[in-house]
Amino acid sequence: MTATVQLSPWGRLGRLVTHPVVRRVAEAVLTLVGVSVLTFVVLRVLPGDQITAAYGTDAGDLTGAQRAQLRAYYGLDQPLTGQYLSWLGGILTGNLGFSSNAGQSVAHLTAHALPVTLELAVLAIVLALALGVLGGLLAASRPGALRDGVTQTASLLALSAPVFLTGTVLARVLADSFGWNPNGQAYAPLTGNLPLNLQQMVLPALVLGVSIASPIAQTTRTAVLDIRGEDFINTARAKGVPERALQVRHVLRNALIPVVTMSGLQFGFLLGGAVVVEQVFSLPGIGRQVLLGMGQKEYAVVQSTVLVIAVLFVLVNLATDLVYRLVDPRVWSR
Amino acid sequence: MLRRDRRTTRRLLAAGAAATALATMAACSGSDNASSKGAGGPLVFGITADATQLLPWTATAVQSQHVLGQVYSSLLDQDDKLNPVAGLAELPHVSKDGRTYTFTLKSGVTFTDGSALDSDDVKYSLDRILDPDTKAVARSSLAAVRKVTAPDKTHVVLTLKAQDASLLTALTSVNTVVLPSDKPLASLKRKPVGSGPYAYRNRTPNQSLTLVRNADYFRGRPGLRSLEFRVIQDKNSLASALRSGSVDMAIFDDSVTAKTAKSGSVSIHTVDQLDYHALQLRADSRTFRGLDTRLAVQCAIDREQVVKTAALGQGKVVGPFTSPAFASDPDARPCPKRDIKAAKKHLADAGRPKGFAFTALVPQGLYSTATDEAQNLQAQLGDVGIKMKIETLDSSAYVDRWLAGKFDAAIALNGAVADPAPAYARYFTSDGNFNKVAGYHSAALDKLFAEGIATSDTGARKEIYAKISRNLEDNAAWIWLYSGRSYIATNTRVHGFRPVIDASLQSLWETKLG
Repeated sequence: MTATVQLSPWGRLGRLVTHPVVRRVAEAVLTLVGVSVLTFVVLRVLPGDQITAAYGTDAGDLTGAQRAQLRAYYGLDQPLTGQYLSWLGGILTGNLGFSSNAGQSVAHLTAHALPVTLELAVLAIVLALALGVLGGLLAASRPGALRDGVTQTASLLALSAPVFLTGTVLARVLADSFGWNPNGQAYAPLTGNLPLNLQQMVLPALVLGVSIASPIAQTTRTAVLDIRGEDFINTARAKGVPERALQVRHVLRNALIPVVTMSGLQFGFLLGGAVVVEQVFSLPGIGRQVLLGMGQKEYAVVQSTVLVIAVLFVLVNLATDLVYRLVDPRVWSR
Repeated sequence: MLRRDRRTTRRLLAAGAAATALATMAACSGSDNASSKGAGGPLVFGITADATQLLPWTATAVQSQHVLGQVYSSLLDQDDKLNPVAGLAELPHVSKDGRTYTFTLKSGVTFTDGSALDSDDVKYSLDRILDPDTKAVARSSLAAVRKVTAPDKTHVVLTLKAQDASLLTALTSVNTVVLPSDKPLASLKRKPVGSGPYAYRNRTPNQSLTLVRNADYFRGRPGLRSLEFRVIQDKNSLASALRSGSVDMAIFDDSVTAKTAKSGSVSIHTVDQLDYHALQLRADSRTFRGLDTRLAVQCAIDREQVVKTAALGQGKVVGPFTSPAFASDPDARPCPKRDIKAAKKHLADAGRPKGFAFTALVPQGLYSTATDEAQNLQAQLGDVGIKMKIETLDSSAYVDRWLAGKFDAAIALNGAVADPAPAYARYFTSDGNFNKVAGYHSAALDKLFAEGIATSDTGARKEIYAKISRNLEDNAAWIWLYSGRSYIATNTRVHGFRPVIDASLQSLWETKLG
């Protein structure tokens, strides 16, 4: 017979607060608040505002009264804390702000840009995983052999080549040699014109995928070599587990843990970091939305879009944790 | 076990083959490039930034002006040499005292919504432009207008406070076009309604803006069924799109990209720009207060070298005025060629024989040659002991500092129009809106600018502006460098487009696709 320990309300609260799920959610909320404050402050610290961005040098023709009217229109006449709280209040009620340049709400713009970036990120990460894991396995199959050297050199080259260069060169060569330049055409949404959409996605996904495949290949190679030296592998081999099963079930499965972590991080970066590729290939994704917002000093566009990216990043990290735990059940018990 | 592995391998091979086939099918279909377009279009005009400003009176970005120039019409137009010619109205009758302009509107002109364009719309438009609440950028260009009246449906009378020889040029601008008086401005900001050759159809922000033919255009039937302005921000991608036929036309401001766009199917037309590149010295700053200090900079610079290095030889050395009718003589300035000895003498006369240091603002993202110009000038000035520090700022920050006059010197690309008065009076007169930027004005210049605007005789005006030019150069108010070139790329299917100075798109309405 075991005695049940009755916890005081404070004790129950303490246990709740220290629960891993609650802790992760609290960390995520704090991260998002931090991102929102940082973005807000950085934008205000940078010189220039939406008036000079819109009028250029003609802003010099504006009278004091006209400038005051414009400052009120853009909400720049409010104190900084008022501006921040007003924006945050809008976010909490689902209002991400309005882009006067686009003539549309930021929510509407984001709803159109996000699927573009998500599609690109998914295609790129799938490609990167295929190339990276296969490359890593190939390299690890004979460490120090020619295939290892070739794979590692290719991986290093892919990592060193900037995506704006590979993207521009690839697009240019294909346009010149085959007259094939789908990204020169108006963007076709996934649900609108699938064949053209795939054509427009294939090069940017390839460029991004190859650049991300490199760290995945390196991680896979290192992890596989580490796992192969573990005692449990020798034990399994001694127990007569067939070599193929040994490699797949024991080596690869365990090696996937750091690969999943790395892929999650890379995918998160892709959601906000595909700016250059979106720019080179004229994809109207979320990265380009931030870039244009910065250029036009549209505070609401930049702040809200960065926050959306941060939310996605946090969610991807949570999902990565989940997958991590599925791949390695031991994590549940920690 | 072995059989299962083989089956798996076969499945994988089949999946790979299917994926390859899908990719190949995708790659071979769905293209809307040149070969699939009809003769009426759409003509795809590539632009590197979105046309975000759809109200023409406040549109300052060149992309917006290009688009709106096809949607709206102005009272007057320009010919290929930028002289004012008839537009919505014939050239006006001007009273003897030069203060009353009577315009006769062409009959039968309509807006694209079908409503008639009459004198009420013209009066409404000019009144609103003059209203400070509209924040129209052309308000200062029409500052001489005292009153606008519409005695009947086809006549408009402008009564001036004083003579203004630049008025006709101001009325050719996209910033002074006629808007329908019965449409709220808020609605026109979202959906323009004009009387130009093309009517607004739709816009996808940051992607494209589509216009369709206005069959009732008062000049005749526009050449294209539709015209799409497509946003391709990366200029190299735009060049690739031209070469592959996805885009039919584009304008570049640098020769390197223009060269990469050129191919068997893409022609490049080079035209001079009116805009000029300058090293602006703030003459009332502590650094450049002394004339000899400014002249030392003037004499230390080889402008041809700046053209060769920054613009790759694609430009010409100019003085203050660049419009063909009033062009300054660049050889009439002190030290028309680089003169190190003279520069050192000016430094010694300024009491700075070992040179001095100053900081120049350099814009990033406004135009492609700014940094190269700055670096070349830095090297040249270094030869006489003048240390120029470069402070690079993003466009908005640069404009802020520039407008506030918080700098010693700035690398700048300044806009110019056919008439020299509006572009310069605002910098170099004692009541000019931008005189804080230049920091240089005098009673003599005020008098000359007043004479220039009040003189209608072209020959007499040329003499006055030559004097102004000489005054500015002799005092090295700024260091005028060169004016560059624009490169209009068209593919071989584009017919009827006439490239003219300043890359104006005035003949785009007649352009057809072959």
